[in-house]
Amino acid sequence: MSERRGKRAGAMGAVASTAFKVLLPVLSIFGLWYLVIYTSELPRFVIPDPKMVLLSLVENRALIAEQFMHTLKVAGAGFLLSNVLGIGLAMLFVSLPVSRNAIMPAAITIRNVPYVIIVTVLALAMGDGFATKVTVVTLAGFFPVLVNTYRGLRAVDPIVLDRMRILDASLWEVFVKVRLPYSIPFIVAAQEITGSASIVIAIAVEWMISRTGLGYVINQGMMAYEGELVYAVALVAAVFSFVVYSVIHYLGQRLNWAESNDP
Amino acid sequence: MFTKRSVMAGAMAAVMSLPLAGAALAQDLQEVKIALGWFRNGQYAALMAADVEGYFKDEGIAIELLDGGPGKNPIAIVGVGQADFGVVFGTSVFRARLASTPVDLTAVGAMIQGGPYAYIRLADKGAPEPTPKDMEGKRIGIQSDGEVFLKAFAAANDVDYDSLQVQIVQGGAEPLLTGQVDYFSGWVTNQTFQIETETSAEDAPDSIRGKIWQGMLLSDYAVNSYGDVIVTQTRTVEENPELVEKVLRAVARGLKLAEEQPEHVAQIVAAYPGQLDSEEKMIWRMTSGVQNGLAKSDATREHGYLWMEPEVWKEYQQFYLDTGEIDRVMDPSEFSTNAFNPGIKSD
Repeated sequence: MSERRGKRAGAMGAVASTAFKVLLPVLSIFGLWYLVIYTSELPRFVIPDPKMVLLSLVENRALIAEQFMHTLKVAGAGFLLSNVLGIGLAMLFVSLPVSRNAIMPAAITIRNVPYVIIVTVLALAMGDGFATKVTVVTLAGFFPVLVNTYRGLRAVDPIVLDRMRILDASLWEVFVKVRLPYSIPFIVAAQEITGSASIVIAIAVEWMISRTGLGYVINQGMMAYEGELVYAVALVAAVFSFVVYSVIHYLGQRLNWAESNDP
Repeated sequence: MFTKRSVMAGAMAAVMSLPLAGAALAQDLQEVKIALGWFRNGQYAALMAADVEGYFKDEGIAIELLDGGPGKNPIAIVGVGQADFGVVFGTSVFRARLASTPVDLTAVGAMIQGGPYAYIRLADKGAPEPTPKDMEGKRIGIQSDGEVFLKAFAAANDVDYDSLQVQIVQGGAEPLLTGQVDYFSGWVTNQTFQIETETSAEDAPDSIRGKIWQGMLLSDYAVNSYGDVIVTQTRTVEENPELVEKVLRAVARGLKLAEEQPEHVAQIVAAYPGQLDSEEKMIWRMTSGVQNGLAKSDATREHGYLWMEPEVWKEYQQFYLDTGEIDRVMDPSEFSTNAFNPGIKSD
């Protein structure tokens, strides 16, 4: 009886603690926002009242929801391709070390080209459509996946590899049963970076060249001197990026068998 | 006040207009793509009005406007053939031709006869018009590419440049409205609406409430220039002159209509698919005379809308040569032509 009550109290405590974890950042963001408004004395067209921003969010919900789906498609496709490219290249590097010497300098170069330049060039070469936007998100996001996965695939305990060799395991078996499980925590860690970056990059690309997506809504808001709409988009993007990050982080903790589950 | 509904309607219309371009093709119209320098807004009213009124259709053309934006350059877009015509700032025409890897484009008409670039200030109603000398010792907000213009403006008007407190600002009029600067470089066809909106808002800060804007045009005080210049590949000029003629005739008719029936044009353009100006701003833009005034000049009265004077191009290039931005000049006939001007004259 008392044990059950204890469990219930524990569950209540967990709910309260989660609620607190969610509420605290929200409160602190709005608190800081109002603090800036009242201390800086900036007019409302520079820093709008959060109330107006939320109102704009509600009034423009159909527009924002529709355009958000465009952004989501670009970010999602780019995110998936970042992983295909990043993990694929890492696998190639491990299985064929010479390929690393050949490809890695190019990968580093691409990673270091400011993506605004890539956008401009790709838009002229391939047009301003879906393919260009996804390509930019992919090129901007694959590198952390590549580096982390490569590290993960090589982080295998050599003793385990020796045992697999003694057991006469095939390369594929070594990969699936040893290297892949070892690398999962590394791959997941890379998703925390690439996942939220995909959204930010997708919006930036849309802002530059597109007539769809949240990036375009920012342009609409700027053209109409409607700062609230721009802030509303920022809010949606930030919350969504935060959710993506949190989900990946949570999954990472569940999948990370190597380390203790520190929060 | 601006309504959110018009933003939504604009966005929806933008999406819905996509299949329309295909539908136009079905009527055997020649599809012509025009790349704009910025998102479609009242600045391009003549093009949109000509489209709505069927002036392009009269020429057997269906136009598709390709929006510009922060990452778009119509010069390059026309250069690679993604669009047939482009609408660009005059400077970019000869700069593109003088570049180390030139883009072979030719200017065929100028929708804006004098650049709308100006130094704008806030003033009390009834205050005397500003003079360049007033700027001495004041805080001047310019965009990152504006130093060359300000120096030329100062030199041409005997203003002590060293006394100016220059700040680099963004494109919006906020620095002027917040009192961060005393003068601000902007377009009299654009940021001035933002100023009028904010100074007349019910909750406007006391510091700006009821103020008006005053501006000194760079084209009046320092260097003449052309804005919203229509360009096409030089190959198009040579191989398909009829097309250039047709497009210019439709655009000139649009400019004429904007001058004769500004309220009507404001209405039809405000409702144009994907157009981003609010109805209120469109009415202001078309009826205040600011934009229509810039579309006219002595040359448009004598020869017709869109006319480009070689002398202006020369002066314009000379300015860039003097400021070290370009290292040689071209004869205007090499990169511009009035051969296709339809001769529709302004008042």
